[in-house]
Amino acid sequence: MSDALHQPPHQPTGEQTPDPMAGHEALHIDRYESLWIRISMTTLAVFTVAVIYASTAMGIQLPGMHMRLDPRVVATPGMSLFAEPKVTQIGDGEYEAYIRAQAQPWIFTPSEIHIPVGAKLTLYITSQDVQHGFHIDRTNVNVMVLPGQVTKTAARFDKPGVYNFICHEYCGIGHHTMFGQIIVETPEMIAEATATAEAEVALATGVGNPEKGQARFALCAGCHGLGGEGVKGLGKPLVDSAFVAGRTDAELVAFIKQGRALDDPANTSGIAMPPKGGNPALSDGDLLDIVAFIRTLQTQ
Amino acid sequence: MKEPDTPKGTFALLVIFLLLTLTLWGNAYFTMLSRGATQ
Repeated sequence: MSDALHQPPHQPTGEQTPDPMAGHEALHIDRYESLWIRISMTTLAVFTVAVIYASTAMGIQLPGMHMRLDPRVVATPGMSLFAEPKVTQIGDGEYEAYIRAQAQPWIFTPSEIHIPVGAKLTLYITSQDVQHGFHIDRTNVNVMVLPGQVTKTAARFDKPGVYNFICHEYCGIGHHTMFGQIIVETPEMIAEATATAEAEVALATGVGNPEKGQARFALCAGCHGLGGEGVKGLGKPLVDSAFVAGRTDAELVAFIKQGRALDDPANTSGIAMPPKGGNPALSDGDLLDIVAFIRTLQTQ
Repeated sequence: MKEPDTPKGTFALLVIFLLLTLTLWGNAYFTMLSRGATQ
């Protein structure tokens, strides 16, 4: 064995230790490459700080699960706050809404929410059947709605107007009809809406316009046929319907507003009819026009 | 030895890339801020 191996490792020998990097160049970063690395790192740092600021100081956060809920009792009165969903005022300018999403029929309940301008609306949303989505136009509210889970989110509405909310997760054949509206009203609009509602009640006892009704019947035609002849497996014929013939215009308007759920004992079609045929924007006057058009079909 | 030329074309592309990234990101970010809190 060599004697060198038996020597202490750091024994000074009086000879100069050879440089291990001798013959190798130091790591070289080009000036432009270094500049680009600095720019990239600065950009990422700015983005990160901006996201943290939005999350902590501005309260813009990803929605999370608020609580769990058995989807089998979601629509059972007394078992869940979602059985009779509604909007309630919880403070000065603060409202909360419990919203239930369901397929067959494809609706949000409630599908129309009225709040005054400047109000903050906290939403609790759940599904009683399949996966849905919930997005309010022109807000940051964009959440998934899952059965068994309550999602909580919120938005403040500082501008008056109609904010549509839609299901944006495919949930079945009627997915495209699943939407609702948040109507943000000024005090003047609230007074006007009250007057309009009174006028519509009066109108509902009057006579509708069949020409306007024909245009609005396009949505109904998807299930009942363009001429009211019915579509097999969807909507019943209206032309020779004893149900239609045996009711007043006001009764039919009330029926269309309500729709007919699948579990309604009077439902003989085997398919649910959504409230207002799936268009919550229809007013009583619009429905009366549709009824007037259906009457013309019956006389042909 | 001749010094390499300044890569002007690469500079131009990187500046365009950087400005485009900042503009698109900034637009999305300030749109999000203008839409308000979710909590």
